[in-house]
Amino acid sequence: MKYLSLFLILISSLICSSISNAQTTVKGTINDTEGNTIAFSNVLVKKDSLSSIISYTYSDAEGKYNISIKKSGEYTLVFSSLGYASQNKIVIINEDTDEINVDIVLKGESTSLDEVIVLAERPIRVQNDTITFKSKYFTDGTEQTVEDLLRRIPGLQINSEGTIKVGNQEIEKLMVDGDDLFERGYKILSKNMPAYPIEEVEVLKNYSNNRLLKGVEESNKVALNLKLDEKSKRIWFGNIEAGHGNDGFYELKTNLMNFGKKNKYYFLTNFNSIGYDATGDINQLIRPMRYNEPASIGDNQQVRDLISLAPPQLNFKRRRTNFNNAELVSLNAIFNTTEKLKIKTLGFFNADETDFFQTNIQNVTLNDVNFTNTEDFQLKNRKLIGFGKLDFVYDFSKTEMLESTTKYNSGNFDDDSNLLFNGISTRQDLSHTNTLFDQKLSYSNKFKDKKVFLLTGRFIDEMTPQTHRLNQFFYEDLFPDQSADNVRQLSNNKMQYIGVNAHLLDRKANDDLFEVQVGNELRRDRLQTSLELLEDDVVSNRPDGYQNQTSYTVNDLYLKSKYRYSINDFAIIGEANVHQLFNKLELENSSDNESPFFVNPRLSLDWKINDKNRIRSSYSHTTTNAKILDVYSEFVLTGFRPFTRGTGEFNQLDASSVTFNYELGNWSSRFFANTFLIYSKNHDFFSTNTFIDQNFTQSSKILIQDREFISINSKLDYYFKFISSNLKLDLSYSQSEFKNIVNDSELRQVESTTIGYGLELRSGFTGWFNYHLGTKWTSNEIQTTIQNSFTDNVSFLDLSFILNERFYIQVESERYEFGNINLDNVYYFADLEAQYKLKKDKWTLGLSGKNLFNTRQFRNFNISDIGSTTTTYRLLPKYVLLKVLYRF
Amino acid sequence: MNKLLVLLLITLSNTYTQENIQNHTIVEYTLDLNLDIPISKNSQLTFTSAQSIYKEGKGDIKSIPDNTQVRDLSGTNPTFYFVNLKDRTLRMKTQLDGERIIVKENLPAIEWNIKPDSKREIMGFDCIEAEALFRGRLYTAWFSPDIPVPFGPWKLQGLPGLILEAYDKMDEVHFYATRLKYEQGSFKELNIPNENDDHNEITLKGYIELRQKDVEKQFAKLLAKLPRDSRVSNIKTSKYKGLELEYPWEN
Repeated sequence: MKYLSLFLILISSLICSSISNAQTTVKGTINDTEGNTIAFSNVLVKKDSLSSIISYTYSDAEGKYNISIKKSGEYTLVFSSLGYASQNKIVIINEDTDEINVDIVLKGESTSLDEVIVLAERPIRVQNDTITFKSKYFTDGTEQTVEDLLRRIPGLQINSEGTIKVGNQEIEKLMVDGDDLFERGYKILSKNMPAYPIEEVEVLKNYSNNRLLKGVEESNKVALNLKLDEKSKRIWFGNIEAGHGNDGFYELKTNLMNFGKKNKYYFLTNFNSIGYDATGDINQLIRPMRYNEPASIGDNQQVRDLISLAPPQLNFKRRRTNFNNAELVSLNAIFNTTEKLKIKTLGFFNADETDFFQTNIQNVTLNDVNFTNTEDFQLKNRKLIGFGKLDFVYDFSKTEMLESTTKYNSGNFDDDSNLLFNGISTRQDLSHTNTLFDQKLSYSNKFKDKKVFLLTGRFIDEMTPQTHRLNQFFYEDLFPDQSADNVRQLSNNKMQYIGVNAHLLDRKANDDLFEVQVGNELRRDRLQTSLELLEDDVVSNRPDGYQNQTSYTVNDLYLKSKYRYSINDFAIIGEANVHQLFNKLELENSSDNESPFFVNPRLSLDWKINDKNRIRSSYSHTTTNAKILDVYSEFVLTGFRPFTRGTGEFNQLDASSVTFNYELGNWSSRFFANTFLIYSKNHDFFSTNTFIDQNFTQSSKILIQDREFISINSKLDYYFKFISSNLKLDLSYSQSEFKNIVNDSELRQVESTTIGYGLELRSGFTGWFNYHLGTKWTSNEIQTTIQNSFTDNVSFLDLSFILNERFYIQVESERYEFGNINLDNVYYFADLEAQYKLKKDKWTLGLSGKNLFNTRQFRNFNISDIGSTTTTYRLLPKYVLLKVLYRF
Repeated sequence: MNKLLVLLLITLSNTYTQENIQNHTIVEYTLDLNLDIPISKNSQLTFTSAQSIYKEGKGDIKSIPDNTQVRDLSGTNPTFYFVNLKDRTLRMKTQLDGERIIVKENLPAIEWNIKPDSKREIMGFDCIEAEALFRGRLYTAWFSPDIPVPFGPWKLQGLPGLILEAYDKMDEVHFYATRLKYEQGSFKELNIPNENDDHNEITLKGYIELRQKDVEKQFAKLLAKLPRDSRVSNIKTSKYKGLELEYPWEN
């Protein structure tokens, strides 16, 4: 009995001891080779020598340490102390052991490290209004052009056309080492200049184009400044890239640059047939549009082409449909001749021949008219543009300067289309030229510390003569009893503008800003058009109602005042613009005068709640005067079907609008959201009264009351640390209302609603692999008497593999899906780009493959207020280009 | 008699030099403070295996917002922080209202959470990331086990390696090392106080209370000096905002 209980106690104690105390203590003493104990020595516990630290401790003043390890297994202990070589020891922990003793002897080691001096380098530095990014922390070596580099800088958004925005604000200019060559035409630099010489990218907020206005004007503008690395300054450097592929696809690009302190030169050429548009938006170079920019009178004055034959804007990469053969040569220089005088010259020559192919099936379903038109359309646009700009900036003193800008543009365009219209072969030919001369003189004086006076004068002379020929005659119903077999439409639109503006800016001591402007702008438009009906080559008729001799003169004498009242981070801005107009309209048989007077008020607020929250809101009421293309009175053939005319009388349009913008976070926060809302109501607006026939349409401009538009857009950014990826969410909703008259109907109301939602996920791994994927849905609904709707989806997946320092591969794939078409509505595209560096950055071999799935055509579905259109576009076929790049 | 004297001298000099020949390391740090006014401070950490001295330089005000006047009350002498691993204390030597004081506290036991699989290179050293909540701020610190000392800038310590960079979650505090140097030879004991030196030694709690009273006293002096026809529209003394936002005795 006694032995049984004893036995039971023994067993239970054995069981107890094996269940409890599942941790083992490792202890010991650390000594040096002379037997002295080493105090405060590191003891690390790791799974193996390369893995991360599980736990750690230090030896005490007597060199003794102890540490507990819970789980059984094999561990590596690392013992290290300053002045001694570290040592590893493997221990095996099992459940039975309570205590393990590990004593260690460390050998002394004289640290032979030399002094390490590293200048504190921060990848992002924020200082007042400037954020500086050190490019090497953001790039991975695959960037070719400056545009590729800027896509990697956080906070910068670059869309598919290359427009660079910081947040929601487009940049004013892209400077190189403080000097700007192209202003709003910066795409010519971002799309061509190589990325490798750039060391830093500076984002300049609250930027002023005129240096005297810095700190005086209220500016939300942003500009970018690229800083070059030392070895790329003051030397001639550049690159040549040549590529050749199947079916005659080729590409030749050269860049030659020298950015010194005194003079900067940038020469570039681009010859290609792969659909790449090297000029970006050429119009931004020739006619930059600046809003709310002091001394920018005349920016909004230009001549619009009445007749145009151009490919439509599509919602995917233009280079896929751009069958081109382009040549661009551009020479640009900045001379800082003396400390006071700066001369800038810009010139480019662009020749391009682009082909565009499309087939169209248009269904028109109105109450009384129902028909289907088929078009097989081949368009060839040839253009030859020469542009030159000369800028002088003279600094009289630190506070006084004079600026002169002279521009000359000459463009020659030839647009030919071969058209199969409902089975009838038609040839359309539009040849036109554009000649522009523009001279601006601007004087600025900062007469007190925070007060600036600007005086600007500008003269513009522009004309666009056009000749439009059609070798068929479709308009028997309009001109009965006419024996004609072809048509010629001539048009000459000329404009002369002269404006003077005086502007005073006064920044008060309490940070309020008072601005007042007085000016006079005179614009004279002359529009002469003539429709000729021909039989062979003989003019048989110049029908009445189709000839225009319009002269429209507008003289605007105005006073603009603005006051910005700010209390801490809250500001209210009140604006009142007073206009006295003198209008004169001379038509073929009449002449009319009027002198309207109106006031345009505007109230806005700007509230910076804190560093991460900002609200901006505004309300405005504007009255605008009709333009030349709104007032001409006789029909013009503006395409091969549409005849259009204006109202033939004076008009002023009234509109009110409310905007609201909320910004949460900023570029450096993990979470960033930007919400924008705009509601606008046009009290009057121009609409059309259109007569639709199968072979032609006749559209007259009419004045209609009341139209509303609302748009809400929200962009969110969130960075997930655990997957090192950034998530972007893009939501938008817009609804607009439109009214028009078709075929003598009642005033039809057209309501159009668009909803868009998209998300994107982009990784920021530092290894050899990175991804970027996204998807976007767009839902469109148009409602008149019937309802038409469809949903499109675009998804993309980009993968980049940087296998080693020399070799990388990038794959871009897209998937398009169009709703509301029964067949063939899903399209896949894949592009591949691979590069291998040969001799250390001097020579590089490249392989470029586009449209690898060889998607030959693309069908799009569009709904309008009168029916629907199915359009099929021809795409550039698959091509593979072998490229060689030489850098010097 | 002579031999004895020489022996005495030799042993005396031996013990003297033994105390002073130690390998020590000097690390220079920059602190970027982004509180109400952005300030940058250059400091120096000197350490051996058992103790460290952190000498904090004067602050350089990077930019002054408009309509603000700044009066610097930090005094002309730098502030020192001493960490002694033997008695586990942290002493701060500074000045308040012209008087030199020593603030003594127990070496704070910071509960660092080491992030496994984190890796980064700073100044050529492989660093590992760790995170901890210390006195009201959530710090991220990058330390290098290749320099096996538990020291770091200011009061940040306790990791199995030297802290080369540390910043808080609100982007208001950022310490980063800019230079590292190993020196051999005499370790200039820049006035390290020891237990005997306890004149003017106060606790941390006592120091915080004294400092708040000093700020109020300076402000009162300013108000008192205003001319007769000036009107004070708004007085607001905000709570002193510094590196430490909360203290262990507060709840």
